[in-house]
Amino acid sequence: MPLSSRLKLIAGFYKNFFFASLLISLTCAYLLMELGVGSLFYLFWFRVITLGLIVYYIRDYKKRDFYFYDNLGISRRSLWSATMLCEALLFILFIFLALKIR
Amino acid sequence: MKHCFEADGIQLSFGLRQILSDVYLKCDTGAVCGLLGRNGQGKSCLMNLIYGTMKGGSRSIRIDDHSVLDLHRHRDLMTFLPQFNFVPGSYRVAEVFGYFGQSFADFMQVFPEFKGKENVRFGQQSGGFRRLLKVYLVVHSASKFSMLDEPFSHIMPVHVESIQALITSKKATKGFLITDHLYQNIIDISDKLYILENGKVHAVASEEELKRFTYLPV
Repeated sequence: MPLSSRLKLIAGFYKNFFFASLLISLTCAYLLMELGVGSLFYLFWFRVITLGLIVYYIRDYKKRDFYFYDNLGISRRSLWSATMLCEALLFILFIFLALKIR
Repeated sequence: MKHCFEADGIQLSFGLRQILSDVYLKCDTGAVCGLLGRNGQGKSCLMNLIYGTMKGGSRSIRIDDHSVLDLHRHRDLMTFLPQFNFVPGSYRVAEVFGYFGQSFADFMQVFPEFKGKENVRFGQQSGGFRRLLKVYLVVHSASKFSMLDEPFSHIMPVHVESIQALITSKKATKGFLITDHLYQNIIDISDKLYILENGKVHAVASEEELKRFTYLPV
């Protein structure tokens, strides 16, 4: 399968929780601006825990979709690694911007 | 080239209840292997254990004598049609065909009545049409073997023969393990029949034997 198709499929999977996750990251950035650098530790763990809940929800609620990706040769590991990497990068970007703006 | 799929030593229990205890299945390229069994005997569990998406039981799965315990990570070896809908509803039909490396035009040659449906989202199709699409995609997938869990369920009678013909035409290049409660459809196309009874798999050769296992009424 071409790389572009693989990326499109991973993006399709990410879309399942992208907006919820984006909202949480934006909230963390806003709280960081309001509360200061001292809150970063708590915000980090808040982000980790909410992400864990999202992953738990997707693994349960969307478990049937994984057969689709299996049949296309995209492993569950690839799906989660790619989306978690994007999540981490987005969170770091928002935190960086929040600290800059502040 | 001929390939050989074998599953044995499969054990599965839920609490004290032993679901699978003595399973041996063999399927070669060019064969359709039918798996029959009453409700709750563990046919779907067996397929999921073979595919590697169900954990908890012991198993030995081999393709051409090579052990492969995570078949769901090897689409070149095995593709699987589970009994539920597994295609996310947001994808358009033509898009799904593209991902599977297949063409909707070829599909329409077999099922011309679905002309114009290629740009509709998967989730907006009728249940029967979705099932038909999934069966077609898995049967035509480029794997050495395919497992089909209830491929004839929710399919209207006029399409059952078409699906049987598709499976029969594809068996020259792959092997199939199929289960369904519509047993006559399975018997019609199977080269080898198995019945799952009390956790054990038995090879059966005739409908008379199915009656002996009380799968069919005497």
